[in-house]
Amino acid sequence: MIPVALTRPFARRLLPLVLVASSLFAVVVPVAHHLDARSRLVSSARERGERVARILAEAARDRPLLWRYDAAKLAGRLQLEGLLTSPLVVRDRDNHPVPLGGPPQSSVAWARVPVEVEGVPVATIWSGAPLAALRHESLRLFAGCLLLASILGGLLFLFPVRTVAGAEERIAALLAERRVALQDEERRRIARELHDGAGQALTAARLQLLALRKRGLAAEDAAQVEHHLDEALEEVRRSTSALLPAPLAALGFLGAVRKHCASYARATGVDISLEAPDQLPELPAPLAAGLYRIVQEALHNTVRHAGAARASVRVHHLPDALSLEFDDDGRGFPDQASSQSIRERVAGLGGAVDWPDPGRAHLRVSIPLCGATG
Amino acid sequence: MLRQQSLLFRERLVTFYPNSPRHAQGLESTLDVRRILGLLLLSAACAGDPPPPPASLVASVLAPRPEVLAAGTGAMTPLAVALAREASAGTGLRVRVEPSIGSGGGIAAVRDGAVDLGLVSRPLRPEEAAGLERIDLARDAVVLAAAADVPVDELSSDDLHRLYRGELRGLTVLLRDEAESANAALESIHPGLADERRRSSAGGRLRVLDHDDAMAVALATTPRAVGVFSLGALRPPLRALRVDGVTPSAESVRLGTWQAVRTLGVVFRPERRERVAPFLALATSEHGRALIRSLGYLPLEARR
Repeated sequence: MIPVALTRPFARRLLPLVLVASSLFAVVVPVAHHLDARSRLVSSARERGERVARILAEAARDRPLLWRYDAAKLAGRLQLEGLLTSPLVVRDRDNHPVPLGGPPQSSVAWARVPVEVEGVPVATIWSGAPLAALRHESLRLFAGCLLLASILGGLLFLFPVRTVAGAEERIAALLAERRVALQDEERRRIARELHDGAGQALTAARLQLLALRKRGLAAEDAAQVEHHLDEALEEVRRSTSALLPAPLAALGFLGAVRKHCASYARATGVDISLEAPDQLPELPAPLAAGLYRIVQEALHNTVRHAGAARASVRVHHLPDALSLEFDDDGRGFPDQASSQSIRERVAGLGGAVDWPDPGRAHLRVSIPLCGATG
Repeated sequence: MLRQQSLLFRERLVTFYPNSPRHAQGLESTLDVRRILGLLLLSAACAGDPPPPPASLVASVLAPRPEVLAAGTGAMTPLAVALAREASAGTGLRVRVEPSIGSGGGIAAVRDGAVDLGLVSRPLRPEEAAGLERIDLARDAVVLAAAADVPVDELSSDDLHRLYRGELRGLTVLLRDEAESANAALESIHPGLADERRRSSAGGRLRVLDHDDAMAVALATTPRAVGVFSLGALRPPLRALRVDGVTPSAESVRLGTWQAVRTLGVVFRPERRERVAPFLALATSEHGRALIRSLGYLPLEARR
């Protein structure tokens, strides 16, 4: 697996942003609630103060000299009208207290309301709004928001990080597969070069030597040269055989196909099922390589052209042939060219391709075992 | 401090975002958010007005006045006004009687030196009596006053309870506030009446008046109104209803047949005795007692 370092840098950059966003949520919501509720409490206290001010102004108008000594009556009236349920402080214009009662004054927000009679100030009212309940409520809200922000922050962090981790794994798998493909391509190119270059030249040399022997060259010498050339040809064959796909060399045909189906399913997300016999007779290396390439190409077409979510691969061992059957739930191949490469390979192995329904990506490939081994 | 925290915060974020100049802009905006949050918290803490300043502890003393100032219970206002008028005519002493502020208000005003005479209609509590002198002048009958359009002249004790419960149809009941001495006088001889008054007040079935002058106006202007009032302050067309066959009057008070009674008096600071002496002399004189009797009160022998 090729290491792809995406998740850790992404997490390092995401974490501070998530922390800042979560902290803002945890703080701003309770602060905004506290601000709004406190403002409403102060407004309510001011409204109450204005009602008290109207009553006091009436008292001061009726008793301009001594209204503040009528506190008991005023308190009774305020009590009757439900205006003494919150803290209330009244001072005459000389800042002398007017004792009207009311609850204690701890933790209070004040609204100051002047009392005037015909434009002349006679007293000042401080109407209080108790804040203890609001503080408790805001603290509870803060705790709730903190919990919610922690959960949201965790989700905001974990989901993208897990997604990136999955992508990292998929990219690594694809890169590994691509590397193997590149290696195979390179090996194939080298094999072709050896086959078409050195192999052809050596074959020609051998033929020429045969001709020379027929014209009278000492048979012993020619046999010697021929022997050397045969050895060279055999060496080239061994070399080209060693350049077959790596999984084939390590796992054999069935093992390589199983591994490829599993890794390709992981990399692409397509559900790939494989049906195959437990064992096959030992296949010649070129035949095994060709069959393996056909499987790779067919699955590649399934993903690339058919857009399928499920695909199946079936391997059947017939008495004198090997059959590969591919099917999927996709939209089929757009044209014949999509399977051209498979057709060429099958033809190269002496087999046949059956494509019964052009609207589907359902292919049957049949390779004669005796022909392939020859 | 805030600046240092901002710099520290910037350094930490630079650690996370080492190579991009755009991160610096992000930092600035993050710091702006911190400032905004700080301002929000500050404004939340400062919402509303400043608290009240410490109160002045100096007693409220009105500017010295040439006339004697009297204030207190409204039950005594007609009596005090009549005596003041007589004192002015006889001795030239000018006495000004302020509108009702209740017995407690009159006592507090005397203690503060705001007035010279406090008019009271109830016993003084020990903490009120300290340092004050009291002279009782008369006894006053607490009655149920009725407007001219009220179709009854007499109530039984049961009727009184039903009246307080708001069950007497066709009558509007006017009562005095909780602190009023008339309530105590009436309710002391009719057990259960106080609870009925409180329940009816809380239920909004009765109208509650704070002062005698407000009660007088309400009785005169409210259709079929019956209210608790002072016999001495009663003036036509208002009239006092009989209760259980007893007619409230100074004579029935004297005889003890009308038991809803309160004692009216004046309080003053000893150092003001000389200032109020002419008024007190008149009020306790035979002439003054005759005047008190003529108003419907039962005059008392002067006693401290």
